[in-house]
Amino acid sequence: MSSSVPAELKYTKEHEWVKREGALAVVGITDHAQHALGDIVFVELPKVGATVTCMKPFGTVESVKAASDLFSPLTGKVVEVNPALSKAPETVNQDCYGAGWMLKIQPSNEAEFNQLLDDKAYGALVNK
Amino acid sequence: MELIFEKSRKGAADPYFPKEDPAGTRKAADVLGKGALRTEPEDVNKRLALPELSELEVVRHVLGLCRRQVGIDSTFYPLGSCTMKYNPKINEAVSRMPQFAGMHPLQPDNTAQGTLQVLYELEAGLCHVTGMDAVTLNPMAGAHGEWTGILLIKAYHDSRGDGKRRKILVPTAAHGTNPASAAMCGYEVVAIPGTDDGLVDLKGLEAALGDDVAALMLTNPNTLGLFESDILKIQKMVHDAGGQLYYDGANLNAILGVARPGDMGFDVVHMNLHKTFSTPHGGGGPGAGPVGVKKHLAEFLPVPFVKKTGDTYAMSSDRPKSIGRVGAFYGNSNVYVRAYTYFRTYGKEGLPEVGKHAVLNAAYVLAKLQDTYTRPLKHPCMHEFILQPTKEMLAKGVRTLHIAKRLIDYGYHPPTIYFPLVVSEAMMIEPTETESKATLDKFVEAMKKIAKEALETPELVINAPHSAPVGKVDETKAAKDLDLRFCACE
Amino acid sequence: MGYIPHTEQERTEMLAAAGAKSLDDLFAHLPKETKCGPLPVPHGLGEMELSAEMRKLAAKNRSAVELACFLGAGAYDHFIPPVVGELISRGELYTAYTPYQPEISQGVLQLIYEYQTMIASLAGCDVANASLYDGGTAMVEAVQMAMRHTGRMKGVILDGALHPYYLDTVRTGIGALGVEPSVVAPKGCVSDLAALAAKAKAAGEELTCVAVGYPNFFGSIEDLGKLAEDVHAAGGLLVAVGTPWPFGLIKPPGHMGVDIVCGEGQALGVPMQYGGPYVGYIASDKALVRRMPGRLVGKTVDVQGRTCYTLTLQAREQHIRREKATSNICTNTALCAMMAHFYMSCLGQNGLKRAGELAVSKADLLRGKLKALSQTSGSAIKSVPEYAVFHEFVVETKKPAAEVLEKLLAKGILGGLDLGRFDAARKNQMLVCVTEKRSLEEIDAYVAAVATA
Repeated sequence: MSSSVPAELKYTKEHEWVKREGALAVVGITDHAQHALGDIVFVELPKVGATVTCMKPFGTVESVKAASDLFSPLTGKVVEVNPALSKAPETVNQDCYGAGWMLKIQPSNEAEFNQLLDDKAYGALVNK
Repeated sequence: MELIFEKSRKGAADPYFPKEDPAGTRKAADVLGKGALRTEPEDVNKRLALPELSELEVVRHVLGLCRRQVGIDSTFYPLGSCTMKYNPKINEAVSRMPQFAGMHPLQPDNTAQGTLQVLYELEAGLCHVTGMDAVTLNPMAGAHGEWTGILLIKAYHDSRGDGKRRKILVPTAAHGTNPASAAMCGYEVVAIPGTDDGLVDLKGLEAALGDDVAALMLTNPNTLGLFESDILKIQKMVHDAGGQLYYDGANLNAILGVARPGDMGFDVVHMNLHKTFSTPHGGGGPGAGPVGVKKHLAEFLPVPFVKKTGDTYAMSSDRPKSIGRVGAFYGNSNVYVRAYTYFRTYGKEGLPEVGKHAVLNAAYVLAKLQDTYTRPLKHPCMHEFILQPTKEMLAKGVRTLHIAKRLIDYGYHPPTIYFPLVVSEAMMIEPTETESKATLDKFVEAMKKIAKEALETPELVINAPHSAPVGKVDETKAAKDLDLRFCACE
Repeated sequence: MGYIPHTEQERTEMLAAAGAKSLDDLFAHLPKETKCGPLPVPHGLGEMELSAEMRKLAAKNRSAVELACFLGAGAYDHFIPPVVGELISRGELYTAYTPYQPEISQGVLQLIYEYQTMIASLAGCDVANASLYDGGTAMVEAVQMAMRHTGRMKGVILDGALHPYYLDTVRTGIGALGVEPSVVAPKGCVSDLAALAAKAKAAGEELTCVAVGYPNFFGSIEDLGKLAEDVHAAGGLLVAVGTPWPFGLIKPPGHMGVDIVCGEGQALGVPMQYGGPYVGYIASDKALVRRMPGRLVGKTVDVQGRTCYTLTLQAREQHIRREKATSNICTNTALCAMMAHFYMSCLGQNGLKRAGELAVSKADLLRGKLKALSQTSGSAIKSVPEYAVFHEFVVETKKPAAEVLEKLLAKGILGGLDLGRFDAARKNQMLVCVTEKRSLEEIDAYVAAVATA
């Protein structure tokens, strides 16, 4: 079964996606990741105002069978976290590219965008 | 079944203590002062919630729950890598003798000579069994022993000014505790690949070794139930690179009295006495994880330890280079009383019979089942072995989990499943030496029936168990809607 | 041989089926250098001889059954109703493995769920885990739990009035990660709460946690409410370490704003058995539950919607998360936790409270009598320091406590703990514990023995 990889997003090899939203970047995990994890039971996210660093863990996502670190695609400041996930972590399974978003970041290093994978490169990684 | 709290009757009397205060004493409330006393808050969850029942009601509650529980005493328990052998009743009887059970850990040594002698002689016996020079009984479980052993290796390298060794090598098939224990000592964990035959890949090992490697952690027989026949080469490679070799004793039962980790070149071993030495698993502990070392590591062992002078035993902490204390007192002493009793039961002639019959029982069951299920590894098995469902079973949708649950319907505890992670659909079967041929034959018969069912009536297998007290459990709900305690508000 | 059931004929048949000529043949693929000959250990014994041998060894011990035990300091001689030993002898319980197969492990799982409830409520907290090795290692886990929660490593501040062996265990445990705790000396026998708070404040951004004894090693009980406020204001967690046995009667740490409560649960129905196996406990606020080490049992339903129990939050554990696990622990001490369950269930809240009252009254009685003795010339007692205690207190002696204790032992009394064992400056001090089990006669005998120096 092949995973959905929307063309308008950028990706990390650790299975996070990024979407530009004005000056901000929205971050979540990919369809491939949510499927591999199975039923997600808990998402741990940083506090608003925290600093996240490119390719360093910013939180964890936990299913019945696995707990994985979440890696930040970009360096920057967290301006918003998805409040719905604490009560309904299954949203990540249901709509990982939409209602299941995790962070909004104010990026501090534009150059890091260029290091992200595009849909073709990421798709090649997960749908081989 | 109803929770004990739901059966509670407020004010139920207990028969244990006098209601009158002893003559000449002050009331506890006056001694403590009002401010120190417990008062119950608004928050129901923070109130005292001990049940109030008669002793008989408690007994019936517990026996009711026993009907929903199996142990080795109830059924064959071929749980791979866990060595579920019979727990002889004499071990329990001895450990419950008041002269052992009633000992305070800080009693003067001259009042504890019996216990100290038991501990001292057990240490010596474990040295012989493993081929090591010194043993500590401090660690309270296998993982605790691993952690202690890795700390010893760290202390050794540090003492030689060899602080650059930051890595611990662990085979990909190792128990999860290996990398976790190494990480808790601050090490970086590097996974070593295995060969298709299920053994350590010497080329991969060679590539990973270097002057930054502190140790290789190995189980032998390994976690796939196979003996690493290149062990002498492996030990030379590790030692030539300046590393230490760590023996995870999870599978020691396979070679008990026949071969010794010390003779294979291991520097540190931990043993799981709740496996090899028949102390009960207790529904998840207590264990006991003594650690044995070669001479060059002995000065770093934890404190305290038992010292013998003439015919007198004493508890001592005089070990200046020790890594320190790893628990409050001296390990799980009363587990050691059981292990010692077991050790004396078998002795010189008996210990090798344990290892030999453990392997015989595994080899026998494997021979009987290898044509019914897939046998992924061709090496001779030791005390346990791995089977997989056949392609035909998998095509019908029958997986390892289903076969395991179907075994419950036949009255057996399932084998270990999905471990090691490197073999897909693994079923790890370890019969142990205490099972009779008759028991093994019946088990083989059940496995064959299930194999037939898997092909003819797969739904029956997939939806198992059918006869257990509860059916398949919703683990997602358990993790998501966390409910870890009864609340009176429910 | 022993518990190996094979007959000669069965062995022959099985070897044939396995394609081996002999038992040794099964090990033919092992390098010969790894094999050993007969080990230099004693011959095996049948149960009859073994029983006699073990009775002989047992007779070399003088246990607390024979001696009157006024020794506490982390292990306590309480009355354990015989029903506890009877119930724990059930083979279904003590010969079971960890309940990884919930369908046939509902017995152990439900008992542990009930135990978690009892311990949490006793500590005055929301949740407790399924138990840990012992009090010392439970304290290590509590400190590491605080590290994970705060994301900090340094700034671990410990009360110097904690059990010296616990302090040592923590030094080893977090020392493995390169962390050194700072220890705040007590004022006499009382934890220096003000100094702990000041130290916490001074740690600033680095503060992880403060761990304080309650009751502390010297038996002292002080209200922790203010300390909790101070530690929280400084951005850290407050950990309380102590036996939970008194919490049926006195204010539990969870009611005073303490974040993590941990310690040794042995006093709750587990025999002293020379230091182990015991039952470490850890309880906390609900908000910290995902940082909690070890096993947890949770309530859920089966396919038919029936209530049942299962191990939960396993994704954090070593068998799945390997080097990233919350802890390397893969065992708890379920057997001892079940004993604690049976003890607490049979005593109930009134029984536990009543036992506590008796211990407090009797300890107060002995303390008062020793104080009176200190006023008379010629006794071995110099003074009895004043501070709030539960059932354990310090006594100052005129000559080294070791000598006084020896004299008591000659009268069949384990008189307490020589504090000089841990601190040379305290060699004339002993720690005395009086549980509900001590009789008035034993108390009088104690007093008589120390009346003359």
